[in-house]
Formats: sequence, structure tokens, C-alpha cells
Amino acid sequence: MNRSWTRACDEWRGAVERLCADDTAEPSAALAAHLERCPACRAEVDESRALAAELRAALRPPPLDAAVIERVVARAASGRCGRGVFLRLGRWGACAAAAAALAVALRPATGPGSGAEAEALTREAVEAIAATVAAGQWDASGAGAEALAELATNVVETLTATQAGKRGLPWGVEDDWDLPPQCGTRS
Amino acid sequence: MRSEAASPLRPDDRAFVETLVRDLGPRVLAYVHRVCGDRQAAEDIVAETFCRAVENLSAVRTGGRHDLYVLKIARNLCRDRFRRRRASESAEWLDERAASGEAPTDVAVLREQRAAVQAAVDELPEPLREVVVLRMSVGLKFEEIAELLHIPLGTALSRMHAALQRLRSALGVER
Ligand SMILES: [Zn+2]
Repeated sequence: MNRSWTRACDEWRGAVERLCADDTAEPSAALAAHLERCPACRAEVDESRALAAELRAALRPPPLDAAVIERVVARAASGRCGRGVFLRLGRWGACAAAAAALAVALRPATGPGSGAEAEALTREAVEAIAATVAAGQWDASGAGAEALAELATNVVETLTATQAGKRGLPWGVEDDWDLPPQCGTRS
Repeated sequence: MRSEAASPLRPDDRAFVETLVRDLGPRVLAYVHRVCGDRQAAEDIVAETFCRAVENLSAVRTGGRHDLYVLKIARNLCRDRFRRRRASESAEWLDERAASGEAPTDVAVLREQRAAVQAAVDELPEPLREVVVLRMSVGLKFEEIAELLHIPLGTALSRMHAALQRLRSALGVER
């Protein structure tokens, strides 16, 4: 800042900065007297207050839509917190995990898709999914849910590598696997 | 609705929660959006925040500062999930209604000014941005910000001062 400081300004520096930072603070009588005499400090405070007013206007939160309030209240009233049933990543992870479990359950008993490699991979994935769920990391942590989705994807990719594997899956391979699935709606 | 039928809340509790969400929800949403992540995820986190607050409803009802309590929950959820994510979405949703009711040209100018201010805030380093949002959007006192962030009062104030200096130069109001 390019202003004419006086020696007195140094003494008041801390107090002036505090007054700039806190736009509702009132100066002490002594500081007010300095501001009265010192255009440089006064301008600094005035500019900070003006910027604070702009910030308040620009950052003022609008009221929530009625629909948002309804969703939030319904969720809060449901008593089902932190189980990954609502949070986006958690829901995606839950669907992926469910899909993987289905894929494993319906895995064909014979054919290339059921080889030892696929067997080992699916067991590994299911154990990892179980461990992630048991550790409770997948509702609060996006990374946990992403890991679940990745594991599930690996299982499905392995199983869909062959016709036999495809026949064992509960949905068409070309279906929207890359999109967040709608849990429980696919026949 | 299904959720009402399954609700474990008594009607007066539900009314209390509705009031709580109506009063505090906008500020919690603004905090989560600006500090943590995109809008859709922010709404999810707000919903989860109130869900967890309701799990401890008696503390919320009887406690003096339920806004700080709810914000603490929101902040912890944010830290878990979106700490590193930038508020990269456009901030239109925040100012479109704030600017409504004014003459069209004023709206355009205001919108532009506010968008510039919001963009400058979004560019702040997170520790500074968080203090700015808690102060200017959520409306906390500095003592409350210090308590929420577990920092000394002086640190909260100096972060705001540093933020104002950066914003001033970013917005070209250095005179
Ligand atoms: Zn001075």
C-alpha cells in the first residue's frame, strides 16, 4: 500500500489490522483519535469495511428450496445416517458392491469365465469389499466408495471377458455400467 | 411420504428439525459448497449433517449453540470427503436468487460483481477461504470461528486480514 505512514501508525498497526479484519469491531477512543488524524489508516479501515460489505452481499446464502428442505428433513427423520444409502458416492458404491455380489453369486460354474484366476479375483474382491464395509469407511469417505466401485468393476470385467461370463451376469454388459446405476430397478 | 411413515421422530421433533433445516440449512449448504465441493455433493453432505445432528437431538435442542454443533458435523464430513476438492462449479446457484427482485440492468451488474467476488473467494487458499465463508456467509463471530477451527482467536483474525488483502488485490481495489 502506498500511503503516508506516520510513526504513530506503527504503534497502532495491530489494532488497525484487527479493525480491518473484524468489520463489526469498534475502535477504542484512542484508536478512533488516531484514525481521525491519520488518513492512511482511516482509508485502510474504510476499504476493508467496504470489501467486507461486498463479501457479505456476494456470499449471502439464499434460502433453501422447499424440495431441498423436504429431502434433508426426510433424510434426517429417517434415522439412517452414514450407511451409504443417500450420499452419492456411497450409493454408487453400494450399487457396485451389490452388483459385484450378484455377479459372484451368478457366476457360471463352468467355462473360461469361471477359471481359477477369476475365482481368486472375485474372492479377493469380495473380501476387500467386506473389509471396507466392516471398517465403516465407505459411507463417510468418497475414496472408500470409489475403491468399492473399482473392486466391483474388476469382478464384472473379469466375468464379462467371455460369453460364459456374460451369460452369468444379471444384466446386459453394454448397459450403463459406467453410469451410477439405479439400485434395485434392473430386472 | 414413505419417510414420514418410517420416521422415528415425534411430530414436535420433526417440526423442530424442519425449523432447524430452514434456518441453518442455507448457511451450512453455503459453507459446504464454498469450502468443500460441488453443489450436488454439498446437498448430500448437508442432508447427512442434519441426519447425524438428529441422532443427538436432545443435545441439539438443549445445547446453547446448535449452529456450531451442526457446523462441526458438516466440517468433519467435509474433511472426510471433499477437503481437497475445489469449489470448481460456477457459483450461479448462490447468487441467482440473491439478485432477483432488482431491475434487469442492476441484476446484470450485481451478478457480475458478485460473481467476481465469489470467484476471488474461491481462489483463496483453503484456510483463508474457510474463515471468510464462516464469517461472511455463515455469520459467525471470530470467537466462534476460532472455536470451530480449533485455532487461536488471533489466528482467525489474521487469516481474515490476509484474505482481505488478497481479495483486495485480486479484485483490483488497491488504490
Ligand atoms: Zn495511521
